[in-house]
Amino acid sequence: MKSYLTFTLAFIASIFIFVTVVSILGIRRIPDVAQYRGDRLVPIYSNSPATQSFISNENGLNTILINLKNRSIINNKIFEFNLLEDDIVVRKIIINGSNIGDGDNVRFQFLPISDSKGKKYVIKLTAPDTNQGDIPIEVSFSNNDSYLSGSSLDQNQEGDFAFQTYYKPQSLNVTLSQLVIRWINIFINFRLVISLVVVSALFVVTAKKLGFRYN
Amino acid sequence: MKIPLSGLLFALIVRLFISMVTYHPDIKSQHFHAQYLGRGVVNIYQFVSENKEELPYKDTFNYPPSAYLFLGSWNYLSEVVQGVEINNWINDWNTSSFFKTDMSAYLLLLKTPYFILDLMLLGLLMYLVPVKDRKKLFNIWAFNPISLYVIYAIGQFDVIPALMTLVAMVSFIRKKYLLVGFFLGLAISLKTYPVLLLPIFLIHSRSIKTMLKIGICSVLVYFLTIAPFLGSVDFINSVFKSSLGSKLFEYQLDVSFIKFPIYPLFYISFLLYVFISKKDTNQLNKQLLIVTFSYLIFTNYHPQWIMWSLPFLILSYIKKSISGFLIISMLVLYFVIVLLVPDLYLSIGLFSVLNPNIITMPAFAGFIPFLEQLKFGLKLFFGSIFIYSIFKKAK
Repeated sequence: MKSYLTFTLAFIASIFIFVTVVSILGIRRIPDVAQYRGDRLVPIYSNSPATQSFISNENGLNTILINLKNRSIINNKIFEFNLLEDDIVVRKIIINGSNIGDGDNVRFQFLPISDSKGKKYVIKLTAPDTNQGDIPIEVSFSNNDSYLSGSSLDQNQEGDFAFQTYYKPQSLNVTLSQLVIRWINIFINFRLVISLVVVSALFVVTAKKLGFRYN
Repeated sequence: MKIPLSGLLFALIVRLFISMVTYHPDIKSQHFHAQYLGRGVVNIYQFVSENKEELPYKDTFNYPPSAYLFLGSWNYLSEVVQGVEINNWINDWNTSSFFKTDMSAYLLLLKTPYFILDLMLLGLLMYLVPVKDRKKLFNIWAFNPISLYVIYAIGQFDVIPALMTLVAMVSFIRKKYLLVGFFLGLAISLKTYPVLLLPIFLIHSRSIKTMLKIGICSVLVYFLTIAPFLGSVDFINSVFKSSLGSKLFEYQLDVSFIKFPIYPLFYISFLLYVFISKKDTNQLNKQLLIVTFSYLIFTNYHPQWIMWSLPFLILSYIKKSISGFLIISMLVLYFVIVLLVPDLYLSIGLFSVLNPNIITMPAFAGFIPFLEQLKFGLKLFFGSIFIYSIFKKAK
């Protein structure tokens, strides 16, 4: 019994330790704000950029994922990502259209903004060399106002970008406390108790039916 | 059969824990399709094809109808236990679904049938070994990392055909040939690979009558499960074009501009060897092990496929046909190759239940150059040594 107990406790403890270490050392960005609905595509031309405002919930904003489409990856022109705060560009990334897939989440990663919590930002996507008649890069939009804390400002669009923001964890204490809170919520959970009872009961009944006897 | 109570208790605890804290998207995708059985959809293949644009998950259901029936039945019962919320979670393919703390409860319930089937596998294995070896067998079964990884972490249902093929082998030893055909047919109706084992049983049959019993019964059982769907183009495209056949010819040897598919060459050579050699039922276990294990070596395998070999592997070890050192080496190699698969959810991503932010990390394999060549080389080299060792011990 002692050897089984030791193995089981060591195994469970090692999983928790492993996940904690990975969380501290390996995770560089944590999801924050998101709007996932992509009901239609809106093209981006030189005279019609696409914009979306959002409010960052955390400090350390460092990545924004946007659902973009470059049909058959034909467009190989300049594509610009600008992040504005109070109409001032705080982060800018210039890529080539060929870096954008045919319906893909494109990651725009930049230096963390350490004091981003509670601030309103505007994402502005421009394609300065893509004119009417060219095959444009398109951004996914929801049909309705799916993200209530922000909106699309240009192109008179009703809905919002399909996007996700991430922030870099700012302190070890925050990371550890988030982990502990999550684990408490997982294991002290009424639904989990129901599942445990069902599984354990079936297991015991099956063991008895199979003729297992204990010594 | 006597087993240590404490051993069974801790085996259960380890399994419960792993089931609760690990997640692989395959279990969600399987149950995404399976839920439609409870809503009256019989031909899931046609349903997915016709409704693809509206569905939140666009992939096809690539398993045979028996798998749909099994998964669909359990999904229906799971909804009775946990309410509609379980399928609401299954239908939520956004990142936000990872942050729901009820996820553990749902995963545990969805993996429940595998607890029972795994226990049945243990029962059958214990029946096959002498009483003095049962405690050793129990410990191997209870805490072997392959079972824990494939069944309870990834949550794949390969334990079912693995159990069926073991039952088929036991039935053959006991000369219950109709049962051999029945269970082989049932196994093939869940996953196609047991069709590779059928010729082994036929070769070992001592009469034409036995061969016919096994062959016709297995074909009949399999046919009955797929007959209602044979007229469906979507079924043919979903199941037959993405299964065993496509993998068989994956690895090829280039010799003077002629490409030789490696696994079929090996398989046919091995069948010839079995045919020529003495028909000894004691060799049946090792031969079934070689067929299933060689498939892992000579194809770009999915990690859960090792479950097909596991019962035969454990028996071979207990009967001292394989050394412990070889088993441990094979285990290490297996997990090294799993790490070389560029799928986050085969490694650290499994623990996204405990910390959803893990899904933002890159897969380890993404940093390794010449990945496919490395995997193939490791498998070919060490796998060949393993198979040779089984042959050598057999002599």
